[in-house]
Amino acid sequence: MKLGQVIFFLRRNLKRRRGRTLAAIGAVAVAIAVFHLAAALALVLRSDVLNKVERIFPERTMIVRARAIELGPLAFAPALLTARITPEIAQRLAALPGVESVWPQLPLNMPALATGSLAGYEGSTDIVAYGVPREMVAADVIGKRGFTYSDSPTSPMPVIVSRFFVDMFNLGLAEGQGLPKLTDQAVIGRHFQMVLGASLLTVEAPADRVRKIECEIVGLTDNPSLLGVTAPIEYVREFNRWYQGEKAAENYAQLHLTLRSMEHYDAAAKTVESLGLQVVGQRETARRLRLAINGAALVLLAFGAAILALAAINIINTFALIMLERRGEIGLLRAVGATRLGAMALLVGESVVLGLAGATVGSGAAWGIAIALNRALARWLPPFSLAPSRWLDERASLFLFCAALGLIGSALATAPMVWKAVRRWPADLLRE
Amino acid sequence: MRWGFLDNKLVQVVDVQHAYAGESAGDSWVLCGISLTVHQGEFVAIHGRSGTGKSTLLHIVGGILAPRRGRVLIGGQDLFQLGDRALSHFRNRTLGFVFQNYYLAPSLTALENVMVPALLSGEPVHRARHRAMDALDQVGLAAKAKARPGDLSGGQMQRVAIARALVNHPALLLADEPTGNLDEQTGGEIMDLLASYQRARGLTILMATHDPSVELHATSQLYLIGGKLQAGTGAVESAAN
Repeated sequence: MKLGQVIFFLRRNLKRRRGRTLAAIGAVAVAIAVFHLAAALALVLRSDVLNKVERIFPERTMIVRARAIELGPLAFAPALLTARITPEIAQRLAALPGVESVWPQLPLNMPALATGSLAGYEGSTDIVAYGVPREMVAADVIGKRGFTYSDSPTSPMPVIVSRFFVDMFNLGLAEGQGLPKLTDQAVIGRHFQMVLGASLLTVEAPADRVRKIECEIVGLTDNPSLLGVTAPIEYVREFNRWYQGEKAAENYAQLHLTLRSMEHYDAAAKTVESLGLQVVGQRETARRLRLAINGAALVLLAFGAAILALAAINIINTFALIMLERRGEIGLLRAVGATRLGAMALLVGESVVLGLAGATVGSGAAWGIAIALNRALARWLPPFSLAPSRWLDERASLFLFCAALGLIGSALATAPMVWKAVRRWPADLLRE
Repeated sequence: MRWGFLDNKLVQVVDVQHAYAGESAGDSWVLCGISLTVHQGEFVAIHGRSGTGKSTLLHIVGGILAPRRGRVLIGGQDLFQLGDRALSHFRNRTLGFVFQNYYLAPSLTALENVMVPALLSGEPVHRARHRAMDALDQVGLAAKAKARPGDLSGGQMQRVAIARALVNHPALLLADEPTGNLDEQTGGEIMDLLASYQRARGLTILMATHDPSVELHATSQLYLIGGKLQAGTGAVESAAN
C-alpha cells in the first residue's frame, strides 16, 4: 500500500473517532510529559550534581595529614608526638607506583586579617591562609594575573578564595543587610589587603611584626580543603620564614595525593600509615554521595517509567477494545484485497500517529516547562556554589528521545494484537 | 497474477468439505463434499434453507475462508496454495463480493466506500475517486456520492456495495443473499442490476439466494441440501459425475 493511500485511510479513521483520538493523544501526552520531567531531573542529578560532587570529593585523591590525638570532640597533633609532613616525605610518596601527583598545602603560620570593601560593605576579618603549588589550583584560576609568584613589590599577590565564602556572603550578610549578591565575575579581580601578624582577637602587634600585602582575587575554588585564602606556596614560604624562621617555611599541614587509578589506593594508604601519618580518604564519602545521587536518579527514572507503563497498559486495553469493535472492518478490508501487512500498516499506523502526536505534545510541553523553570529558578534563587547550573535537563535530544519513545511504544503496544487479528480468515472476522 | 481460464472454466470446486467447531456435540459439518464447476459468463444460483452452508460455500470460493478439505481452483490455480499477497490480489482484482449485510464502513461516504478496493489495488487517490464515481453512476447513485451509509436506504446501500464489488472490473462476482434484507420490489431491482452487468460485461456470477426472481436471470440453479449440491435446471457438473 502506498503512502498516499495509507494517509487517506488514517485521516478518515482518526477523524471518525475524534473524541477517542483526542483522549488517547491526551493520555500519551501526560504520561510522556511526566516521564520527560522525571528524566530531565534525573539527568541533571547524574551529570551536574554528580560532577560537582566528584569535583569536590575526587575519589582518586587522598589527604595525608599528621596523626591526630583525639580527645572527645577535639583533635590535637602536637609536633613532638606526631610525624611532621616534610618535603622529603612528599617526594617519597610521589615516587610510589600509581601516584599521579603530590601537592603540599603549607599553612600561613601567623595571624592574618583581610581588610577591604565588598559590595559596599567595609570590614576586616581574621582569615586562614594556605600556600599551594600553582598546578594544584590551575583549573580554578580565571583572572589575568594568573597564580604565579612575583618578587616585584608593586605586583599584588594573587589569591584564590573559597566559593563557600561567597555563598556565606550571599546567603548570610547580603540577605541580612540587603546588600547585592555576588557572582563569580563580581569577585574576580577584586583587591583587598592582607595584614600579616594582625588579628581582631589579639592585642595590637609591634610594627616590625606586621606586614601589609596587597592581594588580588584571581580565582574561586570549591575544594573543601582550601576554605580560607589560598596563595602561591612561594609567598607563604617567604612569609613563614619572615615570621617564624626557616623551620616554619616547609612544615606542611597536609598533602594532596592523587592516584592514576583506584587499584593503587590501598597500597598507597598503607605506605602513608607506615610513615606515621594518616589518610583522610574521600573515597568512602565520594562513594556514598555517588550512591545517593545515583539512587535518587534511579528512583526518578523508575517513577517516570512506571507512569509510562501505566499509559502503555491503558493504550493496550483501549486498543484491544477498538480491535474488538473493528473486527468486521478488518475482515472487510481483507475480503476486498488488503494484504496482512497492508491491514497492519493501517491499524498500527493509526496507533503510531496517536503515539507520536501525544509524545510530541507531552514532551514539547515538558521541554518548555524545563526551560521556563530553569530561567525562573536562576532568577529567583540566590547564587550558591553547590547548586547545579540548571535544575532540569533542557537538551533537544531528550525531547527527540521521548517523541521516539511514544512512536515506538505505540507500535509495540498494538502490533501484536493487530497481527493476531489480520492473520484470521476474513469470513471469521465478518461473522463475529 | 494472470488468471487463465482453462476450457472456459473459471471456478472449479473439488470435493470441498467444511465444518464449524462445535462446543459439545463435536464439529458440525455443513459442506460434505461439494464439487462444482462454473464456466465464464455463467450466472449460477445456489438455493437452500438458512444454515445449510450457502454462505460458507461462497466464502470458500471467494478465498476468505479455508475449507477443512478439498480444493478451489480459479482459472486452474489452486486458491489455497497461494501466499497472502497472491490471495489478496485475487480478492481485489479477480473477485467482487456482495454481502447480505452490505458491510459498508459507516465513517466513509458512499464514494469513499467504493474507492476502497481501487485504492487497495494501488490506484492513486484521484484515479480511485474517478473510477468509484463511474461505478456509482452505473448503479444510479452518483447523486449520493457524499452520503454516509446511515443516510441511505437498504436498496441504496446494496447498490453501493455492488459498485464497490465491481469497481475493479472483476471476472467473478460472488453475491451472498444480496436481496435478503430488502423488500420484494427493491430486491427485484437489485437482481435486474446484477443481471444487466452479467449480460453487458460477461460477468460470471455465483449467487446464494432465497429470492425466486433469480430464476429469471440465472443460467443454472443448484440446491444445497444436507451438505451436498443437487442439480437444478441448466447444465452443471455435479458431484455425481
